[in-house]
Parts: sequence; C-alpha cells; structure tokens
Amino acid sequence: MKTAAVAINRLSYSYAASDGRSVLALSDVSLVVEQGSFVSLLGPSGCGKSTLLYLIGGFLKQEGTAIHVDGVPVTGPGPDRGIVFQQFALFPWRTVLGNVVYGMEKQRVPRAERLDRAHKLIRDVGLAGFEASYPSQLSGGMRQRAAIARTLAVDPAILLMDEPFGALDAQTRGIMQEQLRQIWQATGKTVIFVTHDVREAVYLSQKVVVMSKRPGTIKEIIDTSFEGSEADARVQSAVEDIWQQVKLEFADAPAHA
Amino acid sequence: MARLNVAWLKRLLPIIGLLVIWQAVAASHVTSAFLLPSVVTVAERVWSDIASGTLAGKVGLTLYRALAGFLIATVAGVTVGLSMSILPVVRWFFDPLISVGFPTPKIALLPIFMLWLGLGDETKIAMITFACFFAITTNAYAGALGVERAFIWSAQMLGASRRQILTDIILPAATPQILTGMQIALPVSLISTLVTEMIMGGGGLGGGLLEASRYADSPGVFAAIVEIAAAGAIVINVMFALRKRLLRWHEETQTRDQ
Ligand SMILES: Nc1ncnc2c1ncn2[C@@H]1O[C@H](COP(=O)(O)OP(=O)(O)O)[C@@H](O)[C@H]1O
Ligand SMILES: [Mg+2]
Repeated sequence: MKTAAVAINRLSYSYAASDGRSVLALSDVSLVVEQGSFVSLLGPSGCGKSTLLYLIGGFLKQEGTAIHVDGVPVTGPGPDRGIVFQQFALFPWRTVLGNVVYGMEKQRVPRAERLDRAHKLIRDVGLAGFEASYPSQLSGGMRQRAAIARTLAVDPAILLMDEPFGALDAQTRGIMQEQLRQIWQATGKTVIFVTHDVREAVYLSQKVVVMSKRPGTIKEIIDTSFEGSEADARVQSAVEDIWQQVKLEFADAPAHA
Repeated sequence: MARLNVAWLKRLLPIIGLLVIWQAVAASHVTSAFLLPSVVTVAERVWSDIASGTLAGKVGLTLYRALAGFLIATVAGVTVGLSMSILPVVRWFFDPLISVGFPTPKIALLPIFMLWLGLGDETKIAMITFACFFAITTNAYAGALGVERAFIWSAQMLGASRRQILTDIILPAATPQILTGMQIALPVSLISTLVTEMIMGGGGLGGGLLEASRYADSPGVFAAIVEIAAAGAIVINVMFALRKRLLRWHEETQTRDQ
C-alpha cells in the first residue's frame, strides 16, 4: 500500500461571518489521498471545496492536527503544496515571465536555470511569445495557463487545483486536461483537483470524492481508475452513476452560493 | 502628432478664453491698471522675470521646499501606512492620531513649528511634510488593506518571507492607491509652501508675492499668481506622467493606451 500524501482526519471548519456568527463550511471530513494519486473533489457551489483546498494548502488556519501532509501536521503554506487558485491570482504588476520566475527567485534557483525552466514551462502551457505581456493583456484562459506554469515552476509534490479549467473554452479545456494528465503521469505528483464537471472528474482522476452541500461532508468516494479495453464504456457508466449522486445535491443547493 | 496638438489646443482653449476676457476688461476702463493690469503688462513682467533669472530662483526655492516636504512625507507615509496594515502595534498607535489629525487644518500648527524650529527652511519643510503626511498614509494603509489575499497566499506558497511579501506584493499591489495619495498631497505641498512663504517670508514664489503686494506692485502680484499657477500645473502633470509610467501593468493604463 502506498503512503498517504495527505491525510485528513475528522476536519471541521467554520468561518467567522461579519455579523459575529459563524458559518460551518466543512463538517467532519476525513480523507486519505495516496502519494502520486489524482483525486477530484466534486460538489455543488458553496459546499466547501475551495475551503478544503485552502486548509490543505495551509492558507486558512485551523486548531489541532486534523490535516497531515507527508505525516507532518500542516501549520502554514509551503512550496511542497502548489495551488492554482480559482481566480488565477497572477501578480498583475509582473509580466508572464516575471510571474513564472517569482517562486524560483524565492527558492534561490540560479538565474540562468530559472529563465531556462520558465521559458520551457511557458512553452509547455502554450504561451510562447507572451513572456513580456502583463496579465491585464491576456485572456482569461491565458491567465489561467500562466498561473499553472507559475505553480509548476516550484515543482510542488502536491498540486492543489481549484476549478482550474472553469474559465477555458471547450477546446482549450480539452488540451489542458490532456496536458495535466501527462504532467501527472510523467512527474508522479499528487493532484487534488476541484471541479464542477462530472465528466472531467471521471476522465482525469483515479478517485472522485463527492461532497454534500453546505456544511460540506464527504458523501461518497468513487473509484474511477479504469484501464484496458473496456475503459471507455466504464467511464461512461461511472459518469452516469456519479451524475445521479451529484444531481440530488445540486438540485436543492442554495442557488446563490 | 497633429491629433495631439488639436487635443492640447482644446485643453488650452478655456485658459485662452479667460485671458481674452481679462484683456478686454482691462482695456475697457471699467477698472484701472492698478486693480487689474492688462495681460500684456503682466506677460511682460513674467518675461522680464524669466530673462533676469529671478523667476528661476524663486521657482527653484519654492519647488525645493515643496518637493522636499512632499518626498519626506511620501517615504514616511508609505512606511507608516504599510506598517499599519501588518503590525497591530503600529495600527494601534497611529489610528487615533490620524483620526484626529486628518480633519485638522495642518497650517494651524505653523506657530508651533516656528517656535520649535525657528524661522528657516526647516520649519517650512516640516510644515509641508506634516500637511502631506496624512493623505499619503491613509491611502497607503487603505491600499495595503485592499490587497487580494490570493496574491499574498500565492507568494507564501512560492516561498516568500514576511518581509518579501511586504516589498514584493503589498507595496506594488498598493501602488495605485499610494499614487492617488501622492496626487492628493502634491497640490497640498505647493499650497503649504506658498502659505508658509507668505507668512514667514524667506523668498520663493510666495515670498515674491508677499513683497509685490507690500510695495503695491500690482503687475508684480498678478505676475506672481501666473507664475505660481504655471509651476503648479507643470508639477502636477509630471506627477500624472509618473503615474502612467509606474502603472504600465495596470488595466487603467492599458485601456488608455489602446
Ligand atoms: N471568508 C468567508 N467568510 C464567511 N463565509 C465564507 C467565506 N468563504 C467562504 N464562505 C462560505 O463557506 C462555504 C464554502 O465556501 P467555498 O469553500 O468557497 O465553497 P466552494 O468552493 O465549494 O464553492 C460557502 O457557503 C461560503 O459562503
Ligand atoms: Mg470554490
């Protein structure tokens, strides 16, 4: 059995709302993500998917030791857990190249190597020629790809991705899915991938974690690592299966969230 | 280039209109040359000030005072404003002082500065610094508070230290608002310089204005006003160009350029 990259044990999390009350976003979540595996989190808007990623990333503070990464309790962010945020979060005052090299600058990677790697990553995500562009000059999809390159630049063992392809058109989305799959297979990174899209979740991941509406709990964990001749048919039936599960949650989720 | 000239002409038209009305009224005997000297007389005086080098001397002295105070206030205001956003003790100390100080007319403290620092340039520059400090500090503070948390989180994830987050993330992210504070403070610095010069003497454009009015030299007074207005307009436009240059990356400049 593989070792756990991320182990979550009975995690709950509340936000302090502005009126002083607290909003329970996650309730009693337990999850083990094996090293090198690809896991998708699927659930309706507002069920706490982003919150869960922020907690694993160490951006939101929580009492206790409910989350372990490589056997060590999470106390804060670190370059071992690279995140791609839902709203890109590129630094608008830096060019594409400036964004991609930033992490390597902080890690004291030598200049020549830094630029080499950055140029290669920018090419890999299809942004060659846009190195000197500022984020405000790029389309949504291009920004998202630059953000992915920036995160990959520090070579994190764990990739946390928050609906990374949500803003892309169908064609670019397909290309990016394929590239992510290749990166995952080539590097053996652990990927935790948040999505709305059942098909995307089943196609990319080995496990799909279906979450319930707020307060988010884990409703079901479905194995989706299909291989061999019948893979296509089984993907299709898994999609239909999961869709049935999710439909119930999506149906009476609060529309505004 | 041609389009640029047309645009400038359009901008200057109201000013030219004002000068034409001024000249017409001055020529029309409803007033005297003492109450309202003609545009030509004033222009001649401005020109002779330029030719003799006295204008350069006065403008130089006034701008030195104004910009010295402005720059000290910028460094101090940005430092305090950004520190307030990350250090609770700094926030605790400055928050009430700013609430009280911001709405107070700063010039009211001039007698105290004169008492403490004497009648030289130190007093003027201290007064100007103090007058500029609040707008820059409050804007830097608000700008730092408004930095998107995802920027800070991204930098943390990429391995930035606390100090690097301040210099690499909070400072550039707050720059648009810091520049807004500076744009508010710049005319304040010019006004404060003029007022301190007119109250305390010691040369400069304000000192010249004071002198001209003492000797009932009405063309001199009007010439001084024109000179002050021109110097102010140039400084403000330089500041505006600086903003555009520093915010090349910002949507604000993208849309204006394209
Ligand atoms: N900063 C916050 N303060 C208060 N409530 C929040 C905050 N962020 C998120 N929430 C609430 O927590 C719940 C989960 O949010 P989120 O993790 O963003 O959901 P998802 O990513 O699944 O759409 C939502 O109901 C949301 O309204
Ligand atoms: Mg979300």
